Amino acid sequence: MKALPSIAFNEFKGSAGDVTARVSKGRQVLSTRCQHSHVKTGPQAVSRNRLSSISRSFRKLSDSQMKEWVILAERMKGISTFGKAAELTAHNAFVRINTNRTLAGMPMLESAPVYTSDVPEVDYDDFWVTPDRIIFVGLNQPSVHHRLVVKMSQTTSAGVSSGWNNIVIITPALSPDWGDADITEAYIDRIGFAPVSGQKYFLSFWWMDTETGFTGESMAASTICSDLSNVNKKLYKGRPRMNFSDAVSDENSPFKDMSLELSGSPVLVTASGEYGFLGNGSYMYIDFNDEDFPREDVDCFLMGRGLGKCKYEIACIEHSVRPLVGRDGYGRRIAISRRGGQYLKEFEVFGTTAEVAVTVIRG
Amino acid sequence: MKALANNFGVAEIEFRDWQEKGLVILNGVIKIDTENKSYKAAGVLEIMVPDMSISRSAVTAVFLRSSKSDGASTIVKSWIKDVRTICVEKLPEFDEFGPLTLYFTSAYVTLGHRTDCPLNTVLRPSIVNGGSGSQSASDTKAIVTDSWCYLYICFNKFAGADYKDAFECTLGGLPEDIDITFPVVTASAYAYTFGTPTSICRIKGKTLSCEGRIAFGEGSNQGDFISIFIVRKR
Repeated sequence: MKALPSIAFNEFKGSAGDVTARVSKGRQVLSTRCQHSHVKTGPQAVSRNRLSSISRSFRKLSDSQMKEWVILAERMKGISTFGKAAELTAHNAFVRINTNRTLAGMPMLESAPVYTSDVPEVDYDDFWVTPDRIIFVGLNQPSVHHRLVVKMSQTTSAGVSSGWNNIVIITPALSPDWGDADITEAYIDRIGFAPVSGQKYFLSFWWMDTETGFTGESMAASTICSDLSNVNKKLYKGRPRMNFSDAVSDENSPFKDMSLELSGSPVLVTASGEYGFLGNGSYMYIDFNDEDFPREDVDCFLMGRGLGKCKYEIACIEHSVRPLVGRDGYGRRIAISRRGGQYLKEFEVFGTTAEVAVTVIRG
Repeated sequence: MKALANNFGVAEIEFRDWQEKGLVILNGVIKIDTENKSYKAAGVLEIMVPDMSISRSAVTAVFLRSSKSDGASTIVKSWIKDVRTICVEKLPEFDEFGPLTLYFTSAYVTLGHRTDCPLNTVLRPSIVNGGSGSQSASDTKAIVTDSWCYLYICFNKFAGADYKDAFECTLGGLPEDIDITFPVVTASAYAYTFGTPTSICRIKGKTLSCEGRIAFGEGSNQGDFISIFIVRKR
């Protein structure tokens, strides 16, 4: 539209080139038109390529496959917050479902999935947004096929009441670890810096069924970054799981994939890992640091299953954790020793046993 | 707990079980015909049961014993896949030594609990009347609750008058309401066997009885061991 002078020749309305003229509160206002920057971020480029690729695939479907998507689209429309069912075309349904699956690393579906039941809302106990961590706990994962999608905002002033327009996907398809969804690393990778204490953060999250590509209703929450949790206002308490991340393997005492976690009352130990007694004797020591683990001593007997030449042979392997005193750099030591069964060189350990560190002895 | 079905052709499966929030303990013995078509077709052995108290578990260990002459055994991975399904790892390399027997003396737990972890009260059961000094322990430990026990014994010597003879001894310090059949893992300096020989034992009341050793003759058998969870009968 060209700028046209009014009858009185004293008012300009409309646009000419990049300039827009309007009248506001009796005053003439000229402003330049907003321009699209045409700058694409990396994630945007990936997302647009994915969308166009999925969209093109729809045209290659057979007639019967397209009919299936038409039927599914009919079933999928119907959720609307304004009382009128949202319309969804077969093409929309195909792109939506397959975009979800692609984000979860699943292949595209050519045949429409069977619409069976709604994906449940996210059921969780609590979550923390602190400068050190962003974590949901107590997530009730509906099935192993369900993954958590989390969108979250950058730092927002504590006075802002709504910032859900500025949230971005942090994790497209996270599988919780025994109810925990720790998105700290993903957030820092995506946003570039950790949450700031006292600032406000907006989150939106939902389950996605990776088998079908269906998603559940999104849930929204906002919280001020602090050491206290969002729901119960409690300080974060870690799982009683040993952190072996700074333990170093050597050629005589190799190990990998070690894990050890306590549960229950009486306390049980669940552990796994692969080890080698490749030096002299049937034992090894591994030094490490873990200031957060709640116990000083742990002692238990797990069964080892032989690998290599000892394949399938059984040994009783004691796992004994003690504080390490007088050795620079490490505060804990786990001694892994054969106590019975066969003399294994290389073996794997798995299973749950009772914790038997002794302070109270009866009998 | 009676199983509702399974995918490896066993007619009937029954466990003695203890279930609570975060924990399932199973005791049971399952004999598997390795020639059964369903067993051959199965990739993972699945046992369907009525709803359990947990909907999934960490991997635990179950004994797998072959019919090989030395009772060659190993441990296999087992886990609760969903609220109605117990899974057991299949090891086809053992199939030629069928029929196979699974011994469940196992605890299945969920993880991720943010609990305090106080020290357990640990008992030291004793072998009261080991015959002629033939059964003696180097270390014993037990956890006893109203519903279940955990028992660990590592033996200095675990044999009858002759190594092939059946024998029994009395365990002190355990409750009397237990009855469980399980393999005792034998110690051996003989390496690179296929699996490890085991002897079948039973603890009923306070009596530990053993069928006799079927392998490795009259070695010192220092290091034979028991590590089992037992559901009490009360």
